Amino acid sequence: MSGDDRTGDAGTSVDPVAPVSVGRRVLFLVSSAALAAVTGATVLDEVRPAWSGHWLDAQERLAVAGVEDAEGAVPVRVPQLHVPALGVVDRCGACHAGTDRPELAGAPAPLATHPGPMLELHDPEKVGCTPCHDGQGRATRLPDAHGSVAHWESPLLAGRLVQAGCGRCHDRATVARAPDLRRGVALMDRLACFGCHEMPGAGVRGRVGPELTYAADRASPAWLLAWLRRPADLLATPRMADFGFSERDAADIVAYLLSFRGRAGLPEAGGALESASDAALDRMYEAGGKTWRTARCVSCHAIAGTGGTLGPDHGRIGEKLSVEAIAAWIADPERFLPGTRMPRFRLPEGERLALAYHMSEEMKDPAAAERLAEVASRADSLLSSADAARGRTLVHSLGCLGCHAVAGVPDARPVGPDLTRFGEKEVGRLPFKAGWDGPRTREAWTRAKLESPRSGGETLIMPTSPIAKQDLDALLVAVLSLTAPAPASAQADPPRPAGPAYPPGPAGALVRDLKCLTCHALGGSGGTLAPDLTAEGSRVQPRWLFDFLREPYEIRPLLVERMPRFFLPDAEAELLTTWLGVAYARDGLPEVPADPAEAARGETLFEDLRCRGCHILGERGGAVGPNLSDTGRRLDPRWTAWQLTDPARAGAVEPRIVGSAEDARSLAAFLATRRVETAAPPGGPEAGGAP
Amino acid sequence: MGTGTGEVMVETWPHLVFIELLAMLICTVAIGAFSLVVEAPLESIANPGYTPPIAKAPWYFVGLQELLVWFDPWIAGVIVPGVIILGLMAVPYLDREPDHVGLWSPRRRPVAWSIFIFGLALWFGLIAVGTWDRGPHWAWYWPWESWDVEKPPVATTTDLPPWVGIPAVLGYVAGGIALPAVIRPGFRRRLGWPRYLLVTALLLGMLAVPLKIAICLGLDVHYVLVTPWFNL
Repeated sequence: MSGDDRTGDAGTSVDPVAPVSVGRRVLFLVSSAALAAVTGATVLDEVRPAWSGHWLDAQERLAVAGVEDAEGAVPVRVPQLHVPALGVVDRCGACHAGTDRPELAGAPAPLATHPGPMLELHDPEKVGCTPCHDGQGRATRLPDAHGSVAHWESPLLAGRLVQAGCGRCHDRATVARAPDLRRGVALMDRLACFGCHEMPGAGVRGRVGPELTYAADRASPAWLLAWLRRPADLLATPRMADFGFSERDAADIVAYLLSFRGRAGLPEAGGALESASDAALDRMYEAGGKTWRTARCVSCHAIAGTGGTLGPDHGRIGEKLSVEAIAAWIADPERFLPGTRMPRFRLPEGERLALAYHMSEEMKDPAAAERLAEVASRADSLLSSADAARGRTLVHSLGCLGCHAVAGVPDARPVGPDLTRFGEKEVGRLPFKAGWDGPRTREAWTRAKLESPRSGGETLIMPTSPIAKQDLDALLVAVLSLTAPAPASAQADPPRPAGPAYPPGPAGALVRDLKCLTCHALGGSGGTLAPDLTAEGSRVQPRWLFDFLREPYEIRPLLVERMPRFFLPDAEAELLTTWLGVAYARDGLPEVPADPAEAARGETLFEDLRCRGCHILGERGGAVGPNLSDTGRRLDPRWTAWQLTDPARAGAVEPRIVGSAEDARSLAAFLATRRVETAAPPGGPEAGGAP
Repeated sequence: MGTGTGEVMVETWPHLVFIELLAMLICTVAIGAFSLVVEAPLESIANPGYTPPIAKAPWYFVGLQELLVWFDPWIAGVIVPGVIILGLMAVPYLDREPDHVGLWSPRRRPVAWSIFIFGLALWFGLIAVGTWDRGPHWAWYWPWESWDVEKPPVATTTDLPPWVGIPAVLGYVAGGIALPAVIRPGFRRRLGWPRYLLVTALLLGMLAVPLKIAICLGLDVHYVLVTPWFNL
């Protein structure tokens, strides 16, 4: 058979005029209409995109607000911000039509004006949106634009998380207007995250906790066992995290620590006090308590939560350390914790011992004695079967060396992952735990990790620290802010030196020994708790400074942290006074003549300007600012006049109230006449109780 | 052509052309609507510093990628697709039955139809497996299993020794060529030797793919035949 004869084939007929069935014709009509509809929808989507409605809305609101030619003011368009230097192409304005229009301040999202003065501080034309906020700048519809879609690595930093963006160009520890970021960075420091993780701005690894070489000499095995099991049992706010050690782990580690016993060379426990009579002990207890108060230890060490936070809470220090260990620590803190913030107090040996005895007797929780005794009763049997080699492995592998030094062990490499650029770590690299059903974002993973660090698997070793909810948010902000620095052109703050820069020479050695830079800044480095000393030589009078260094007293009634009394010998106080006077002075201060008429004018001004609202003068006044009753002895009037004209330039929080340089001079002249005419300065060290 | 079927034939125009037009319209509408609703499956912005745990080919190549599990790259990536393309190109020259021109009903050509559908199903089956059942490191993950759980690497499997492999492969080829000629002598006669050999070779090649997979899975064998030049 060939193709030619098909039509004539028997049994098969050809119907040349059969019509196309009605069903097919209907289907043709329907599908043609559907094609027209799909084409129309495609065109409409381009002509009237979803975001254009926001612009029409904005035009309407502007017209209502009385803006002429609202359509011309905000024509419907995508205002694209292109910043080549930062690689930014942002079309966020497609929906956020009113960010720079004050008339739309009250409008609902997304039309509302950008809050705060942020746009004045950051010109959108030079910065764009996504460098701070993240999200998918090129996208013009939701949820793509906010980046909450699969495969977009940096979704919008919502709510307070946006502060993470500030850290890309600003100094994370000091940036204004990002309180959560600052708090988070401080928290990361306090939690010593840098002990295990590489990260910028970290402190010195191995320099947060006391040296482990001396641990067994200073604390009893029972205390060490209990502490390792659960630090929170022994201290309400332990700085050390909970590693979840089992009883066996703890015993092995203590066995390892015991192998160093004797290195500290401490006298036999109880030896110094054995021969003392009860009456002598009572006297020691009293004298030690007095020293505790005069030295203002509580400025840094809280007792059961009340007091300063610079040092650890000492409410239960008596359970941990023997009298000898406390005395040895006070004598030379650097020996047990190199780089500590604790100053070396110039106490004679007897007073040191009395203070140590007082602390060891006073600062205990009687309820804990029983539990410690229980641990102590089992300590021998636990330790007899303990494996010191395994303890050594634990100490070396779990990151203990990140915070504690051990003699003879070189600087440890961090045991945790590098966090230097965690804020831009690929989401695909994050080990989401099996059965994860939350959003797959950096934020969600990090939050879960911070909440329960070990829930992702049995091999995870990150310890737990109790973190309050608002602290967790701050911590999250700080962790997410760890990104590669923005291009140099966008850097807002010069890089800060890593640690305090100590001046050279004997005075510098003294500053280091007394840890002045923990609270005071000097020449651009140091702490912010206390006044900047960079111009101290011009600020105060040498005689007063000498007296104050020897016996500090309360100047700002509201502060918890007070200048401690170091029991400085005259020679050292003299050295510091002279040195600050010649090396840290300011030129170009206005002259203030000691003129009674001027002083009288200043007195009137003092009352008129309501300085008393914040300052005490004589009997009355507010407690916010420094007490001014003894200004005539304390301050140099030239400094007072200079600082009053613009308090901010002296680093003071005081508002600018004084109008002219002349007024400032009068006030300075008046204040120079104010003295407390007593033998002892006001509120001498004995009276320095809590405000 | 089958006599006495009582079928009525109609003209190509308008009947066939109308159906083709309808198919074109419906496909266009479906693709247009699909493209309006579904976004392009783009992944993260390229990052030279990060290799994702799994990189899959575009969906239409995932079947080939899946073949790489079972065959050497040279065979899975070059020989197999090459033979598929050449084989499809050869179909008009191999299938020269004048009776069948313009007629594709499975009732009329059950064998040819079944072979084609089998090949198509195999191809899309491999795509489905590669798309939905392969996770990180191309390990087998059921669609309901989490990719966050790392699967241990599959234990190394063994190769068959040459004294088993050579007879097995030769037997498969010889048997596969002889069998249709023995069962349906008319088939071989109608085709003539050259076309018959080509058809059986293509058919054996296609059947070898699922057969090899079955052997790998069932007998825990890696290669059936190991030679210095190629491995099967």
